[in-house]
Amino acid sequence: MSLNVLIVDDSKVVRKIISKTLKLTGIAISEIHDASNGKEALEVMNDEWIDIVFTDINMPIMGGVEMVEKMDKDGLMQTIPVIVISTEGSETRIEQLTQKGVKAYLRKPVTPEKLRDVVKDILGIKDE
Amino acid sequence: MSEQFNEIVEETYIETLENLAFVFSDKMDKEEALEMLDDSEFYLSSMTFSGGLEGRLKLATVREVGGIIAENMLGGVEDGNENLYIDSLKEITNVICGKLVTEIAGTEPIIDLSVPEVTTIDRDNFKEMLTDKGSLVFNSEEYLVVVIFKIEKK
Repeated sequence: MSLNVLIVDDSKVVRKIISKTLKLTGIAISEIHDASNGKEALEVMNDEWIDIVFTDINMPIMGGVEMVEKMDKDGLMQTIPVIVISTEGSETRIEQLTQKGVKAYLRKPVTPEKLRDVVKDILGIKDE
Repeated sequence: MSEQFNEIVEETYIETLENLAFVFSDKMDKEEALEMLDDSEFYLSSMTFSGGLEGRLKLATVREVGGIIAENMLGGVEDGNENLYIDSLKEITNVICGKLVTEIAGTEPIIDLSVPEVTTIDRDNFKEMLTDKGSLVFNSEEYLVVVIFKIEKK
């Protein structure tokens, strides 16, 4: 199973780091798309097949929380798993995001091992 | 600010630079830092936080530090890619702020972090920050970095 991934973060540096980290996980990646805010991300999800989304929370124009809320109202987008990668550490926020459908929450900086374990867990990818 | 508070800021700054950007830092004496001050170009990266805790984080340093951080975080960048230097400083500021507010407020309250902004400042502004009572000064890979973390409301 080769994944189409969407990385959403207003920082180009962070998008590059997450992209590199993903490639180090050993998980088969078909294509990596990126967006600098939630609004751009929704446009990508409208145009492209996306298997999984990694998103920050604090972004200009549209943040991660609003993006997830809008995804939840779309019949197709609501099926796409979302993993939040953020600097925030509030458990209340994590709980809120989980209730909105976010599958996992990782605090920056993220290691390839953590990313791999979370993706495998969410997508049910088994070790061969 | 209390000694304990300064220690939290110091530890968080040093740890974040090491873990995220492989940049090693030591806290500096301000008099010593003033002697190191030259006519470099300076960046100021700042962001605010609000909600369960309110305040601001400012991080000021020379342009070269942005380059080192970008280089280390990305495993190589083309020289003079100013946007990536600035972006890297923003991200470091973002991570430090997230860790500090969690350390101080705990993991229960929701604290909204602003998007970091970077501006250029001159030597006098940098010196003003360096001599600010609430600032901490670091030597990061032989470059000066000034950090000011202020809580306005709990």
